[in-house]
Amino acid sequence: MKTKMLIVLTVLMALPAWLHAGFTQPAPVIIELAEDGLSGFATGDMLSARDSVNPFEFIGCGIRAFETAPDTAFYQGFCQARLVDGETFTCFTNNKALLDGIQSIADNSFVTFSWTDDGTGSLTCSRIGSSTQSFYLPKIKSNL
Amino acid sequence: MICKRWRAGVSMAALWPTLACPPASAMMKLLGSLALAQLLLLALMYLKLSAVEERVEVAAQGSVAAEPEAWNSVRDNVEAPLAGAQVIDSAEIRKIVREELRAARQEWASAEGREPDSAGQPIYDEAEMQDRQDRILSDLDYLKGQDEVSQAELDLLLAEIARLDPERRSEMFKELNRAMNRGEIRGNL
Repeated sequence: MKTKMLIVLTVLMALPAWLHAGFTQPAPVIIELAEDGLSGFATGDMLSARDSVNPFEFIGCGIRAFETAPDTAFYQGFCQARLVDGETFTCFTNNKALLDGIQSIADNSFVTFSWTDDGTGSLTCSRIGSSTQSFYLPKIKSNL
Repeated sequence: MICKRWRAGVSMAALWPTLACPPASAMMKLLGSLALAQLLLLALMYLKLSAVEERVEVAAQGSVAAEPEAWNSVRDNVEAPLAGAQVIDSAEIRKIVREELRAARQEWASAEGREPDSAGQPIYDEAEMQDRQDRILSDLDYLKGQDEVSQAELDLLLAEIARLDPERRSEMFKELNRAMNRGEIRGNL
């Protein structure tokens, strides 16, 4: 009798959290190359990459700013993604609009970017985007 | 006992909280006298204000006459139409800002061992830039030989590359990018 009560109570306690889970859309990292290998794109949300069982998986973008003169700076933006050890795709950009795109990336954002290869293996970012939505957020334990 | 006729008017009721109601004709007389007194007070205030205004005008005229010529010209500018004053001021401000920026650039360039060109852009010392690029290339070679490159090491390299002239800077960033994408430099920014 006691065991039955315990099971019922456990189910009842778990039920509200399950009911309030909301829509989720995990986006594991995807990296695709064009047939000629001179362009490609990567997508994925940062939380899925971080929680992945693949220890090499990651995606993200960043900016470095360097002062070149008083009140003047040089901005170097980059995006990078990896799925396999030793195969990181990193593109660089100095394009102001793309740098703004990097700035708009938030915690837990979905990140997407494309690149073009100049034929020597130097990748220039040609598209940077992000999406910050509830379905990318981590599920937080709630007793409500 | 409170006069019932005054109950609605709270303030007046408070004036006669315990008195009996005055007769209606007496009340009218009282109100009339109050209105008259108010009118007299207003007239008195108007006269006083007019006198003060006159005195201020006289004092202002006297001080203008005593001011030196230079002050008068300043005053003229202040009283000039606003739009005209804004045009002159913004042009002057732009000129000052340009001069200050040029001076700051020259100061910065001389501190860095560079001289600015006529457009205020720093002219890079060719030999110095070449030395720096050579050092960066040897740093890249060193990092390529490492099993793992830390973020700090990469950041130092980026900072060095950023100090190059724009052409070499672009070239070295591409070189670094290539090395990273080929897996020759095993580190992440």
